[in-house]
Amino acid sequence: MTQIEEILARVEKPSRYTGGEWGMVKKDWTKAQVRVALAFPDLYEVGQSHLGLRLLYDQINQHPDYLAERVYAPWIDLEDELRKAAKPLFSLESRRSLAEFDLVGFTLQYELSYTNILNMMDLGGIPLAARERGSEHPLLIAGGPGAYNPEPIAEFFDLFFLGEGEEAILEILAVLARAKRAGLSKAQVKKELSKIPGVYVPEFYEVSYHQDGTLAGIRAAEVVPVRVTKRIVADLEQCPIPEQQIVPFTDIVHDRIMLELFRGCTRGCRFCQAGMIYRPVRERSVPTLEKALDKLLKQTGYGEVSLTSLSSSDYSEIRQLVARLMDCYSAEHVNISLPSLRIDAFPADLAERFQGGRKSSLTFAPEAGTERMRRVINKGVTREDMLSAAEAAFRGGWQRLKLYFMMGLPTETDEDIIGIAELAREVLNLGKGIWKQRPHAVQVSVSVSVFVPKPHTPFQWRPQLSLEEVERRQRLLADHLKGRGLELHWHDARTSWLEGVFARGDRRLAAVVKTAWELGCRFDGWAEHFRFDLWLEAFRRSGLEPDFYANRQRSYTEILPWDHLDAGVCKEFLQDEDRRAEAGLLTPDCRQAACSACGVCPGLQVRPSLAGGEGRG
Amino acid sequence: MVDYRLRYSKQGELRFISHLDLVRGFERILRRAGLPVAYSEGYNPHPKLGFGPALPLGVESVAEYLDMEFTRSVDLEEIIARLNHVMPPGLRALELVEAARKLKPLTAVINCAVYRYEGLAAGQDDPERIRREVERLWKQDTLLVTRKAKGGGTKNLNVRGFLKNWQWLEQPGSGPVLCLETVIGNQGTIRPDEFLRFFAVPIDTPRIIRTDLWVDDGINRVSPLALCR
Repeated sequence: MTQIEEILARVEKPSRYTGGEWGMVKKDWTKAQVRVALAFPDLYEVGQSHLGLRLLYDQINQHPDYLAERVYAPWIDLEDELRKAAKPLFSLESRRSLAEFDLVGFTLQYELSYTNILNMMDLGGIPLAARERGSEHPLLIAGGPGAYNPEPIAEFFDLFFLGEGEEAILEILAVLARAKRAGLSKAQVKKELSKIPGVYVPEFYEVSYHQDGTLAGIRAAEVVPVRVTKRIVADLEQCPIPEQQIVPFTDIVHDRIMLELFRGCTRGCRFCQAGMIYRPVRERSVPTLEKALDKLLKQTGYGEVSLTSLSSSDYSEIRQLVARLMDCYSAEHVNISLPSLRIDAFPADLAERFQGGRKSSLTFAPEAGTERMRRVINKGVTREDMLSAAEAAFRGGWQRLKLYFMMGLPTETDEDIIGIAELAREVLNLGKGIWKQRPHAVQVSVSVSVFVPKPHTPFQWRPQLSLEEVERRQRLLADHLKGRGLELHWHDARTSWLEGVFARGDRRLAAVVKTAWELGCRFDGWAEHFRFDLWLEAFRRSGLEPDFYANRQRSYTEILPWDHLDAGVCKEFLQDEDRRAEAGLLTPDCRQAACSACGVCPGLQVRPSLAGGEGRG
Repeated sequence: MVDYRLRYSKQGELRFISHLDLVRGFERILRRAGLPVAYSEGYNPHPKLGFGPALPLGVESVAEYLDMEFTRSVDLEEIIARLNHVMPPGLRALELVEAARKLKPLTAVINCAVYRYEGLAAGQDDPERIRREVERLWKQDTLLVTRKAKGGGTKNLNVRGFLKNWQWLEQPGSGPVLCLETVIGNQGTIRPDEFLRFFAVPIDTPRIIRTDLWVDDGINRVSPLALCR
């Protein structure tokens, strides 16, 4: 037995690391011109669920000259074993160390995974700082939503990529293949890559600071674009849906086929980063989706499909699609699920079909407790909308409803917090009235997260609620939300606060991430591993003030650390939306109403496209 | 409805796949194979499959069994071919029999498991010491293992009674191979890795393979497939 095999026999859930699943692609290492490691900085169960990496894995491996393999964060037990045995972190497919690849790509899904990134680099035998790496080391690139402000981890990466990567990844690999043949230096390769739209090379930009810690300037130090603009796939209909998907043995977070109906969302919720950075809306047609699903069902053997998108019930032909899929697959025991349901468009009949007869619980996201607050965030849901959706759900056979809210939204008052409790109680009483025979079976579970202002959103200038204030409002809510049938869950305020620091952080924070990792921080998003004390110690050592990043009101004229990164939505629109929020004014969805002039379409030279034809706006 | 009993192997890296994961995996394999598996009634229909005794994590096997109910009869060779076409590397359909009568569940009839230990003495100077150690263990009246008790905590269990027989085979190149015959089933069992913990002499980490599962009535032992005929 090899040493790695002996180690695998000792760790928890070895199948996280062994690969060999159905649908895995293992190519000939020696024949590939460029070798890519796709790295997800969390456990297999989380990372293997991620659609974006599945798409890139397929795209790269479809190409005869390139190879892509997967790497996930090792759980603590494997890390200990690897360090003890002085063995590197390895890829699932051919068990090569990270350092043996030409390109290592991380996805930045959440800020609390940054220490895992450093840990994986270190375990993979890769020097952490980009400037310490030579031609013998791989290039490190990162994409995903975090790439829209990657500044806190900029010094660890050679490149970032903004936007949808399916087309660009092949352009990047073509440059790498040429560079390898020509024997280009690392600096030359980066220069070549910086010419590809969407590629951001942080070392080509110099950042300077004022005395007070705010940015004085971001200067392009090389001949590179002053602003890097995100890439999108303009015509999603022409963008192939992978016909293969890996079928894991072990139970992963999203253990099903994920069928992507569309990209983008123009609802315009002002807190939502995804709604801003993934614009415009581009839908796939029903026949395209049907064809793709048929192939995937046959290839994977999955009995469950999730219709994924930012807000799937907004798909313009959702009824036709669901009806078609039900007709085709209900006899074959295929379950169809919708990850999110909207209240103002709650189709009770649709929901009933989705759940396949099972009525465990139904989730709604009113996001805020009062109508005023919902207008501020541009979630134009009224109390009546909420109650009629709940009524439809209770009459449709559900007894348990889950309601998602946020706390700490701009302009929030105690009245808005109490409003959460009142709305929940109204929903509960409604349910009890409908389930007269079994009123005690009715349950309303309220889940409250802390609002984190994100870059490229109308609230990017706003302060995040302080830890003390979050705790006070949580107590306030708990006092008002008591009684049989009501349940309250909330997120750890400290993790949201840390997320907030890094979401809008600048390059100086790299020292904090590195120190926290050195102090032993790992899996910060996992409650059992989160070490707030170590993070505070890391801030103390760096001399940086975390509240400066999380809890400070910024002025519209301040230079923001991500000002050179362009998500397509223009700053004027964001400011305008922030002002409209203050005034409690709604901005309608451009799918139904007039263009709201967010700037995406002219900037990227695209149009929204709906399955049934052009946008209605 | 037609009942089939399958013998399959689970080898290589697939030894790291747990029994529960394998059960889920088989549902998908059967879907990929396009075979007419019968589903249970009710809100949450599931395919009618009956698995044999769980294989411990880290152990390979060439003698795993699975009962499957189909809605119609399919040619035996076609079933095997279709399964092997869609199984991940490490799983292999080996033999298939159509049940001529109603079958008792595999876990109710299988009561004997045989394991092979390869490479126990691969790096040891004196393989004889390991042979003598097995003999010594066999003379013990009690061999205690600690198991998780129902409802939390742990309990000690004497597993000596689950050891039925042993035998040494000579394998050129890799040294002596131990074959261990154990009791398995409702009355309890000794896991093949548990047995190694009693060794008081140094051994190498062996490759462990379940080579047989038997239905033993005290006089005769037959393969679970034989019960179908």
